[in-house]
Amino acid sequence: MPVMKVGMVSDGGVKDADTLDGFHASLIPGANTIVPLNADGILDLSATSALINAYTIRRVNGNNLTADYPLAVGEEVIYNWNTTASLSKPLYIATNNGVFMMTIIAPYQTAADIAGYLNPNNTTYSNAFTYALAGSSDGSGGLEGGSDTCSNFFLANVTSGGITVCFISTITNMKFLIAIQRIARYTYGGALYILGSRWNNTTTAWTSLGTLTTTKANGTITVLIRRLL
Amino acid sequence: MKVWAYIHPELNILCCALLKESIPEGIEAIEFEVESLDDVIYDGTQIRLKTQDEKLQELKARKLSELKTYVASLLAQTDYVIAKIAEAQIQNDMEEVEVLKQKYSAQLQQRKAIRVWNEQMKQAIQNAQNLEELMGIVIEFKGK
Repeated sequence: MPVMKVGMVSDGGVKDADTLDGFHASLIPGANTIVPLNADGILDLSATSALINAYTIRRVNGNNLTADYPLAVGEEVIYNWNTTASLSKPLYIATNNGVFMMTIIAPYQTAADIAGYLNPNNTTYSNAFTYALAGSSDGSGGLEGGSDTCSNFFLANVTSGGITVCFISTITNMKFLIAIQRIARYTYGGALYILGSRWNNTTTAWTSLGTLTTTKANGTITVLIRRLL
Repeated sequence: MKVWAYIHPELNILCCALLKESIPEGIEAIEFEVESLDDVIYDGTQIRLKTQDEKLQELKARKLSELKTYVASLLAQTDYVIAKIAEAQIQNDMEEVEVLKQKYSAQLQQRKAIRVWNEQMKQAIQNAQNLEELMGIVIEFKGK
């Protein structure tokens, strides 16, 4: 059976049609424009986004945010947090009962253990949080653990240096944070921790993802937040 | 950093907003410049900053707790020695107790050293006169 290709007609009379169903083609993305693969075979949408049903593929520069951004499912925000300039970093993300993944990468140093926190709604709530953690420091030969109350989400030594991955539920009656981290420690060089933290209040809405804070400066920290649900 | 402290009208707890726009509408908050978010307290009558002595006592308690956890993790590594000796003692097998004490003398000696060091650290923490001195105390047992 003969195959008809776009840009051709069966009698071979027309090539390079100006439009397809009325839409122009261009390597530069724009409204009502068909974007072909580029010379490297990549669909390059540059600064625009691809919306696939309810899933958005887009990276937003969080450093430019000044008000809560309605992050869509699949969309992510990236920040460079200069802790020398400020010990706090407002994230400016609207939450709306969402589930998020947050990755934090801090420069490696072993001069001090540096604790970090997530303050939901950019606020501390006195002793409204509890956490439990378990882990082990390199060469210690044993397990460490503990639990306590807090006035925000405790992220252990997240800003000490290393990598932390958090899963965050902002659902009003289930405001939880789980973190896995491979971090620097001043006595041992490094440690692995797993921690879970809970905002014990089940009625207060978590509307803004909040502000990250650290107890001590440690260079520039990269934060990447993606909305999962 | 700046914080704005207030008593939450529904939760009736002390809250500190890190952004001015995060203060709930209609709430009068008190602005503070703080080094740490823990510096602000509500003492039952007023919202205020902690005194130096309150900070010192709090940090002492935290350091002592850290020391306790650390010492427990050090001792846990040789707990099996104690369990073996205790078992022999329960069975009234004093000969076995002596054999075990000999066999594990290095571990027993280290446990003793850890406990002596623990007491010295406790004293150092309790005797610290100011925050700088206290923060300079490193909890690390070097007698391994």
